[in-house]
Amino acid sequence: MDSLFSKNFSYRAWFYGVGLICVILLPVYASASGQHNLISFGSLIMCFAMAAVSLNLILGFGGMVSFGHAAYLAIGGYTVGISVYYGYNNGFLHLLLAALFAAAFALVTGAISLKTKGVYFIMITLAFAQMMYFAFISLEEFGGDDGLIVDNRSDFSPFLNIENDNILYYLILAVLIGMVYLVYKIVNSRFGAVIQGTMSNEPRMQALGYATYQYRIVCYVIAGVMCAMAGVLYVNYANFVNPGDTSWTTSGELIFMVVLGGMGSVFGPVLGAATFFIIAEYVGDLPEIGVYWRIYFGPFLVLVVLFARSGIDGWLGRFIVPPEAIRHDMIRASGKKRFLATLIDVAILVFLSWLLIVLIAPALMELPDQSHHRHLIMIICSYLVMGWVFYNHFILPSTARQGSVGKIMTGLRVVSADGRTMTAGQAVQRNFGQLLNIGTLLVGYIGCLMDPKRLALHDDLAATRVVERGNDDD
Amino acid sequence: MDYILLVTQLLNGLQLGILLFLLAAGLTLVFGIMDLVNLAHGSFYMIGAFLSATIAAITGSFMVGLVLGIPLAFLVGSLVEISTLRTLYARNHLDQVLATFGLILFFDTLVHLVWGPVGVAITLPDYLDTSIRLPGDIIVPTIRLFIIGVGLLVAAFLYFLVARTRMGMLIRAGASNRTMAGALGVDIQRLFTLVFGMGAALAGLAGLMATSITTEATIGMGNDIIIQAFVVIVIGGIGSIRGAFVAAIVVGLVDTLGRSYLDQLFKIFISDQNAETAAPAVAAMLIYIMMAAILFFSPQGLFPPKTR
Repeated sequence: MDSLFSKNFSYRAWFYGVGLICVILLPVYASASGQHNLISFGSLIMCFAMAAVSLNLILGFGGMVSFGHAAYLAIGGYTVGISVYYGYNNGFLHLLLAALFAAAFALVTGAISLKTKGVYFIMITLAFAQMMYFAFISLEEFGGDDGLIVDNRSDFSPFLNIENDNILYYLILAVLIGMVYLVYKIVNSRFGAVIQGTMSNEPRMQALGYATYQYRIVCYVIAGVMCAMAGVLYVNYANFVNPGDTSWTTSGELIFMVVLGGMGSVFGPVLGAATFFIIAEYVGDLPEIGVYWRIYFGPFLVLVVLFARSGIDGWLGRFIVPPEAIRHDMIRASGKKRFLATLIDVAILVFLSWLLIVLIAPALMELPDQSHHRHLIMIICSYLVMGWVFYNHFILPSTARQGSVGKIMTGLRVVSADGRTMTAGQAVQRNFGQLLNIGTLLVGYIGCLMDPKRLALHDDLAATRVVERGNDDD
Repeated sequence: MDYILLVTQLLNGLQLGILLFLLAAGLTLVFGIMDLVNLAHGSFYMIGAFLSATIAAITGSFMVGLVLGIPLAFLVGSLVEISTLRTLYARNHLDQVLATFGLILFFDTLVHLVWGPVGVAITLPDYLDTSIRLPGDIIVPTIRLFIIGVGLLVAAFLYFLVARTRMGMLIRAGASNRTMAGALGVDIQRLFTLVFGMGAALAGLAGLMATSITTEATIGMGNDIIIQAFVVIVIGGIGSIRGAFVAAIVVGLVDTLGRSYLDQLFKIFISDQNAETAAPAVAAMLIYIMMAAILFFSPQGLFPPKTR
């Protein structure tokens, strides 16, 4: 078993590898199980993943906080929509035109925006996107406010026929992989080095003789064109384009996808986009309270910003504790005690939920179905439960108590491998690891049984150890 | 040209400008002093409107709604500052934008949950629900004049507060050098909460004012106007109340006059039909074009902050 638990083993590589295989096989699974909507859901995610990857190029690697990136999605979308409206279905023409329009728009707006810094840059990119938004709204001929239905997909004959959803899916996947690879190449090129250098210290790069302004504009244009390509594919998937895609909330969501996935990580934004849509889709589909999914999503966003800035890609990497600082003298907890601790935590959670349900059920009966007050009570209850989980698994372990209630009761504590209390970052990573354990149907716990050090996936990721309480010397 | 229409539109523009100023004043203070980009400012605008409208509906008095709703908006603002935004001061602008974006999503949904999907209607008292005949046969709704009056009063009060009082002195000290002011014994944290609450109260007032014209507080009503308020403070120079005032009036006038007169201007140059298609689009974009142009020539706005 030394390969799985050797130093060089990378959860990140495994995760991405398995993820890619799943994505490739998704249409097979979808047609086998008859869940055709999975294919369009996957296409949607991948289109926005492309947009996020392109935004990451300027945001994560160039430090340019563009709050108007959604405009390029709409530029790509409307290029296809309007071309098809006039009967031009050639896909290559669409790509070419979208690239030209996006490049022109990025060149003009970038030339103005990049003169400014900081919050002025955020606001001016937002202003340009708003201009596009109002421009699209006023296009009465092309649907105006209501958007434009695109009844023909781009025609890539004789190479591809994307009227077939599966073929479109694979086309989008191929373009996405191409874009990730492109960003990877750009970032590791000399050009990319200049862009990243400019992010960390522009005056120094200028002193070294680089025309940073020109470099940044070129980077800005590349990102814009990439995003417009995403827009072209997005419209082909959705058969519909509307000005709402340009609104500033979409731009905000794109930024969030980048940050959630991991800024400055080439692949991170893909994960960010996937997580965003999966949360939106599954929480949004809950009975009764689904329409209020944003009441969970908003605070989630705040928490990610406050505690988890490294993003999912960062969580997938091991937390590094210097080898010489690792303490080997701590008494490891037995699997039996750990299981008991988990059992207590689960029991508390179940009891709390049960208590709330018993308490509020009569009140809920009084209220009419579908009334917003009924939903308000349900959501407050869900907040109480989640607040408890957050307190028990995140706050408590990263304070002097060093463990959830279950661990405290069984005389265990969770510490960083160097014997200190976990940092907030480690706590996030540990909980993320637990989610992976659960998500992979407890595969992560197998490590705990096989590994002589009793390290499960989440402990290995966050560099934490579960040890006996008692005779602690700190 | 029809001068009655012109004067009416000027007054409308002025009134929009005043509304924008009420929003922008809080925004620019918070930015100037705490260096915080607060997208959620529009949420206070909405919450202020909902709270005031609800109180007005319960008590049956518009003025009670006004007098009680504004302190409540102050309270909500202070609570948000203490619970969340305080931790964001030391973060970069990207973090602030994202976190306050999250707050918007939260508040929009919260209002939906508490008040339901339909808005809350507000009824104007009889003495405001009339029109006043100005010299030259110009008829203006009283409420618009009321808004202009209240806004100018607030502007004067803010000027007095910042330039003439001890608290204003502390605010200015905090704006120019926060660390030094703290070292000299100013309770910066309390000052920040106070200023933030004040900004929220002003936003709430603006929300109520806007609601009294549209007659209904609606979910997400802050999300469009907050962007315009950001245009105002960027044009005015972030951190400057004077800049915010000038820019708010200019933006209000340009936006309103653009919507009513741009097509006539275009007709001079292009065919009538084209002018009528193009004008509304350009009118909607006008303030953003103006902002881009101003930033192009003066990247820090019209009244750039002197220190920092």
